[in-house]
Amino acid sequence: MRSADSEPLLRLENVSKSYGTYRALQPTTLSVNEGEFFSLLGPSGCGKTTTLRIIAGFDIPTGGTVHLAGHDISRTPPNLRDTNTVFQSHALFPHMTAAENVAYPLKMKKVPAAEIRPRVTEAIGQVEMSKFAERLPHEMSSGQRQRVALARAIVGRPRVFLLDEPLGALDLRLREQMQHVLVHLQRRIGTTFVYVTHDQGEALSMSDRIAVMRAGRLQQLASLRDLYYQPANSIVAGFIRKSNVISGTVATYAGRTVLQSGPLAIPMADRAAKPKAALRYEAMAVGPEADRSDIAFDATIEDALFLGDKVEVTLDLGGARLAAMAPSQRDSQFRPGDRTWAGFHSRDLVPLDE
Amino acid sequence: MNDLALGTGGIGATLRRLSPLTNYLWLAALVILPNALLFGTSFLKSDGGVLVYGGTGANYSRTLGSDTVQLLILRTIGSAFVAALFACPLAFYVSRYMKRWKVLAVMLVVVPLWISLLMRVFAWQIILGENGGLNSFFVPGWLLAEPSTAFLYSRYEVIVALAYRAISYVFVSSYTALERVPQSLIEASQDSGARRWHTFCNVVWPRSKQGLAIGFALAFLLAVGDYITPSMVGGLDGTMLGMVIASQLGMAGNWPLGAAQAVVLIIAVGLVLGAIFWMARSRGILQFVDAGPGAELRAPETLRDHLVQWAVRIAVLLPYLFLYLPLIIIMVFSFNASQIQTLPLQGFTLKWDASLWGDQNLIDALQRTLIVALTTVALSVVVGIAFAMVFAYGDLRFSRLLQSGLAISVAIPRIVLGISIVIAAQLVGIKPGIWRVIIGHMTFVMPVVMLIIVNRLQRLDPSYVQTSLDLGADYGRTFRYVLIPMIRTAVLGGTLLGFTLSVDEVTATLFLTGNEPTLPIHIWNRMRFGFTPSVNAIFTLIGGVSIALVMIATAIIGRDRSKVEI
Repeated sequence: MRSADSEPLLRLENVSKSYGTYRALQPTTLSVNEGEFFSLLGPSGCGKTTTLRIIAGFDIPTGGTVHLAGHDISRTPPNLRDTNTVFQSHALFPHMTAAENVAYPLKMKKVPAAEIRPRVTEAIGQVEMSKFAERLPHEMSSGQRQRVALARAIVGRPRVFLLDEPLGALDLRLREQMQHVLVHLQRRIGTTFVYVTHDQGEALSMSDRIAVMRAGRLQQLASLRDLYYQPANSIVAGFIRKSNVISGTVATYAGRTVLQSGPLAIPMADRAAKPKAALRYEAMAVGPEADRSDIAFDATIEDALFLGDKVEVTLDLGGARLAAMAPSQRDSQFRPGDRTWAGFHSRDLVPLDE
Repeated sequence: MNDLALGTGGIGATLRRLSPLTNYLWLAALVILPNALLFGTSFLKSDGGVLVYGGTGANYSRTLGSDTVQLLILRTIGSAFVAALFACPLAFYVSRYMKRWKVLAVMLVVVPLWISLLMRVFAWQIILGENGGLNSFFVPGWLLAEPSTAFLYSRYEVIVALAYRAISYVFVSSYTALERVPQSLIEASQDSGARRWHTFCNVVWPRSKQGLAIGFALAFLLAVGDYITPSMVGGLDGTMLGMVIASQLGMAGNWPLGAAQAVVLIIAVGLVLGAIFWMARSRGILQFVDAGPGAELRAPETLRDHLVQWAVRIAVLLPYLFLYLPLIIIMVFSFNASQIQTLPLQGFTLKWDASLWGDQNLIDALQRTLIVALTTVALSVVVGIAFAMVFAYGDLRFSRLLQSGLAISVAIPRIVLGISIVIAAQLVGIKPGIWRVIIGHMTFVMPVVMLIIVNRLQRLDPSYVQTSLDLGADYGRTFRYVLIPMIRTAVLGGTLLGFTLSVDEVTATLFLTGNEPTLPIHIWNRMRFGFTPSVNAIFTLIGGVSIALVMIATAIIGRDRSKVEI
């Protein structure tokens, strides 16, 4: 990976997209560095796919420019762009075998026939599909099709590799397998990845940087660690991990600045005081462990969801409601209606912009 | 088969016990018997008005002795090509690039299908006919449709008129196929670096050629058995196969030779269709659906872009002009005061419309047409639903084969169908007239209705029926309250299509009516023996009524769809 201060490989400047009066993408500026694994994360309709399609050239931006390696490619048709896409539906040509699908981009770029064969073999090998090279798409499993789609996109050695929720259609086990394939592939070929997903898990684990989007707007662009510990607003906080959003009023209480929300008065540092704050579920402690918290209180267990290694506990604080993710233990049980001791560290409370 | 067990009681058992039998009966009586008789007749010879065994294939050697069949088949293929030439680029444009006006663009191509065949052919007679005199006026129209200079003038007319009839079919089938090409495949091709032309050749064409083949086959089938169009606009050089056969049955009175020609025709059609579908075979199965086509047209920038845009506009408008000009001419003439069909117009009149109401023969014919159509459709719907239920839920062997056997009547050229039904009816003792016509019409209306319903039933999630049974409904009530509402649209569509098919049928009906003509036959006779402009008036009225019916039906179907789309 190159250092961040060098010229970015891909740069979007005030790129926007409207369909009639509907604004699918607000003016957005972001850049992707060479060799980076970059993710666009957000719920459906947030503008992430539109952004990807603008980079690929399937959609023409209504405003703004797209630069690839210093060249303005905003109006370059997709077939002349140095980007390749893995589609959500995999979009393998049903009438071509795996090998023919992978050979297609090379043929279209008029690569000499003698060179095509070894490159196809190599690309198919990289996704571990050598045994199935002569199969038609309908003779493969969905995981295999997704691998062939990957091979077809990398065989042309694009500068930027675009992935549109490529794991969306796969079941849990296959997704995990494919994540490994992807990470492995990216390390080996070192190409820049732009990855679109609505699923927190899969993108987070692989990405260098993540752009969280919502309602056509870029909410925050940061590393996973920063998104996790320093979410910019309640949207990011809610989307990255399960978080309680505590909203109330900033007040002064016994000489200290507090966030007053229902029965809770949470002391806050003066400068950071905002009427809204996020608290991740796992930052809450329930039971005896709450003793070590700097803010602790008495609560009633309203509900407990057993999730295997963890238990999601909903607590009633006499009007206010907070959720916690507690480690599950064989002996301890959280029974609805029980009184318990709960708490958290004030440093885990993240003030939110909005 | 479907694993939905219909159990031991109620309608399930009834269906299973009875229906395969009736399916086979239908197959035997209305498909196998007539065709076997036709085949048998082809080996007879006419001896002083009595048919006797004529030895080996004398009729066949006579039929195959000349190269007429070959020539006429080629001519028919030519007409299908012309239709494809108009229809395919339009289908491509409408499917890929139209958004707002898409539905209208499709409807406009389909509407002429519901306008009487006779009316459309008649319009072409006015435009291109030997005494039409409007040729020069439409030079730009037909110059562009010119397939080859090898065809002489009046052969060429027939080809254009036949192509005109086929355009809508080719359009619908290729449009449907193009709509099924997922946008992501096209984008994947572009993404791989393919130019438009390469994307078309490598992705769009392989995915849609089967649809085009179906349309092409339909166009070929319609043209090959058509007797009306060539005899109206063809002149002497414009003879087509249908005419050759019909003349053996009519003027020449040589039924065995006609039968032999018909058998040759069936075989030739089989071969051509086989060849078409062999060429259109494709491998692979599309396994996903995403958004259909919807490309963004880039705004023209250079002069070349502008030129291309104008060329495209003309290519899109031309088929519409081709489709509607003849119809407009008919309408204009129906209000023209002159007795003769020439320009300039002689002033506006409604007298031709008014004259229709006093014409008893015409009213009788109309009555007969309605009786035939309503009876045919009513019987076909009942039988079609019953047969479709058996195919969808019944547990019977050779289901596919039986289904194809029943459907084969749709693929048999109408003229052959007409002849074979006549021979069979003669043998069984059904006299020429309404019942003969009804039976003849049912042979091709019922399979159409049945296939539409089978298709609907097979796409229906079986869990609906299971749910209904689970909730305590018996088979009868499940059928009444669950299945019927869900296949209602298909039934309605089949009814409508069957109705128009029956009302508009001429070729087969000509052989079946005897002295009781239906409306198209009545008009046909009128057009042949002395023309009156009232024909134009009839056509305008029929056209108006059928378009109104189509609009109503479309509205009903459209409303229904929004409620039940599974």
